[in-house]
Amino acid sequence: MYLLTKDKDDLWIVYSPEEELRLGDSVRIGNIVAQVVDLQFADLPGVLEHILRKSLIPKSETTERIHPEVRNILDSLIDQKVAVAKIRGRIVEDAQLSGTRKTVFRTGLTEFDVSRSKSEIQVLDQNELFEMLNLKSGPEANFSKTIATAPIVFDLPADKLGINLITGMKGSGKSYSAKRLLLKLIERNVLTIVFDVNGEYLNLWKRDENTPNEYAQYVKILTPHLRAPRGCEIPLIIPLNEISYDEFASHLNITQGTPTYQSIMQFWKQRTGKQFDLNDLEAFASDPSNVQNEAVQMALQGRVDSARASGLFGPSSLTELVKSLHQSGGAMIVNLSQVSPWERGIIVEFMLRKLCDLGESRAIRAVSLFLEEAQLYMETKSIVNILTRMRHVGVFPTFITNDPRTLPDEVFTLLDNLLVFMFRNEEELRHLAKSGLIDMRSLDALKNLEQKQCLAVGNITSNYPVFLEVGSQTGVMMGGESRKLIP
Amino acid sequence: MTEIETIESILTTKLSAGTVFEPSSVLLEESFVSPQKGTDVEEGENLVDEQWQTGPARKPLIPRYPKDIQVAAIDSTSLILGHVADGILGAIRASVVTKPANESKRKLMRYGPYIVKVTEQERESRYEQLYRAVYGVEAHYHPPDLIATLDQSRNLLERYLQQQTVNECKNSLILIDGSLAAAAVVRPSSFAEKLVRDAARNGNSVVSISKTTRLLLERSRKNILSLVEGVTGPCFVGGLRERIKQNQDRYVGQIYVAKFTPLGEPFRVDLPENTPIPHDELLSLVSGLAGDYGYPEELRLAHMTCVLSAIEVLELQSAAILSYGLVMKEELRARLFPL
Repeated sequence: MYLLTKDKDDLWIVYSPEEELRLGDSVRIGNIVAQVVDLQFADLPGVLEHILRKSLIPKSETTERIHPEVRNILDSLIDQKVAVAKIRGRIVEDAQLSGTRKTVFRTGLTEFDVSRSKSEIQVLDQNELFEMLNLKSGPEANFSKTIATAPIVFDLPADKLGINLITGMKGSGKSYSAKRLLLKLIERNVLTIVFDVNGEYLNLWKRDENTPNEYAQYVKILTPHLRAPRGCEIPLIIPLNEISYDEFASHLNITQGTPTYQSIMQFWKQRTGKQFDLNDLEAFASDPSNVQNEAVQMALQGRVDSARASGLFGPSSLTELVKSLHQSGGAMIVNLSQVSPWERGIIVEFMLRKLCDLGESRAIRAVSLFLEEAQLYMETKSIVNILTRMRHVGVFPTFITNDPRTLPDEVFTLLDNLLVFMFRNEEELRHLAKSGLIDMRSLDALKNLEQKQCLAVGNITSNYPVFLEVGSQTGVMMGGESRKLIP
Repeated sequence: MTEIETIESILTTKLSAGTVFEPSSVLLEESFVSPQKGTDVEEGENLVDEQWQTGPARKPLIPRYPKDIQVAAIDSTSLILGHVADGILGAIRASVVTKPANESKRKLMRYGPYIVKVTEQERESRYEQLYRAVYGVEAHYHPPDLIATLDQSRNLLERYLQQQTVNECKNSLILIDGSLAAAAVVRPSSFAEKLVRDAARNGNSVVSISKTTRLLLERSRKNILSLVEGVTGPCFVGGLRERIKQNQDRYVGQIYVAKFTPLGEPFRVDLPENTPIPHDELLSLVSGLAGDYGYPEELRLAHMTCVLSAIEVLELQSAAILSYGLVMKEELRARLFPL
């Protein structure tokens, strides 16, 4: 391998077909560490003419008498490759408190003491690199392995998760990886609340269609409008006093400004700070001292009956469930796959308020929150609220989306970790660069990734971009409840 | 007939490891490296009588594509890869392009590139060996220098392949680059006669096409190719052999000057007397094959597929160094005056 040139913070390395380099490999040139982000042919002058001439008569119609030693070398020049490697930093000897010296990795580059002819270019051993980065990856780790000439296993360190984004185009493996991360968190006794808008997490507690798996006791699926518990699935019930009169009125199609709406508002205001339910509303509506107009009374009674029939409102044991799973670790999957957009909003707001209250009261220390396609059920201000306020009460959000452009800029400026899977669209890639965690050239490499391969960068990788291939999960139904046109 | 393996083994004698090698400079910007041509010793200058009664008889050519006839074309190239002690290291490659009858796609048989060492000490003996292998007789001529030896070695390979092609093909049109001069100093007088005789026996028509010639019109001293200058359509002028002033017996068959396409270049065409296809018809068939610049496409492909690109020359230099364990020497001038 030879160093061809340096272009800004890219090093161009020429290597022959016999030498092996792979996307994601880190190379050491002198004390400089660079990471391969693109592989291409060395574009020699005259190659086009050379190939055009060879194409005059097809290979299949050509017979050659040529000595093997000449044949081996002919066409080797046009197969020379160029690896574009992004400079990540340098290796320095650092004095330790104990008086010993340790080889460590430092970002930045203030000197460029390498020679094109003399500097040896070698692929950096990934174990050596991880040691310098203080990234521990034991042999028992099975979340992923690195993409490199000599791959090693890599586990996402759960203690370094903060504000996280898992993104990639549809089918790239992002949801699969999110589920694997969720199971890892359960193993680490962390509680994760998942807003599951597509019903993708509903089978996580199953080994197969008929058998629960080892995670079953830690997984609770909260399904709205469910009449009775069913396996790991329990009804999601919201206490009436946990939503606003406006939310209730909208839910039951009560037009703003009408006498019925006024009565609802009066009922709510009288009970500010108190617990109440549909029985209280029914009693309020039937009392002529509260509602004199008989038509309004009937309208209110009708709404109470509808709300009762929906099964969404009532006394809730959610606080106890959160506290319990917080102790053992587990997952609360909020099944939003079969509720109306309006109900989604109410449920999410209710859940977030609950988490916030529990965090503020220190009833829980910290929880992880998975938000699949958050834009479908959250306003921008709610997302920003999660980023700016809820993290201080111990809520660590992980956004999962196939279109990063749907998330507000604050997500990118405050992002701690990025797991990005394949994207082909330039616009989406450019959007990710806003995070500042990764440069555009490295993001371009994502176009070449295969399914379940990703680039991880942030606290979890000591800010060194690591190309990963997420491993397969056994004993868990990872698929959601999607239906096929033809079974 | 000598096997090709024998020719190859004579051409490619190995060098001893540690030999110092100074590669020729190669500019990748140049798509092809110019072949090394020695002094033209094939055919000397000669004059052609131009006392026509009514000017030269130019006949129009009606192109006819030889769809149902097999066409074969042979060409070769050589160049210097660099210098070794007392000699040069060269490369030789030859191509035989065939278009089978009633087919549109062509086949290529390519020989080499062979890495050839030519040193002052062994150039005569190696040339004699090769000459004997190709012609079966002792050489009565030795190329005057290293470059001419390399070029003549290429020439011998090409002659060998011409002979092999006329032996193997049947009822074909065989296009060769150069003239059919019989008694050139570099080859035995019997070679051309044998070639055309063997060709005729197999029903082949040999068409020898030269881009240049040393036959000059006696009075004007213009090249005979000027005979078709200014003519708008494809045409030819024949009967030139009888007008050659000296050593007519050195030429085989008839000599024509032909322009195969309206805007094409003029070429000298040598046709043996005993071709199975009449000459006028033969010229029409060649005209039917003519592509860019009026040159027959099969012959152009034979040339294009044997010439070496700058990239290939660099690769061959590497192959020479790696296979023979040569030690590379930088040019002294470049070291002294690097800028």
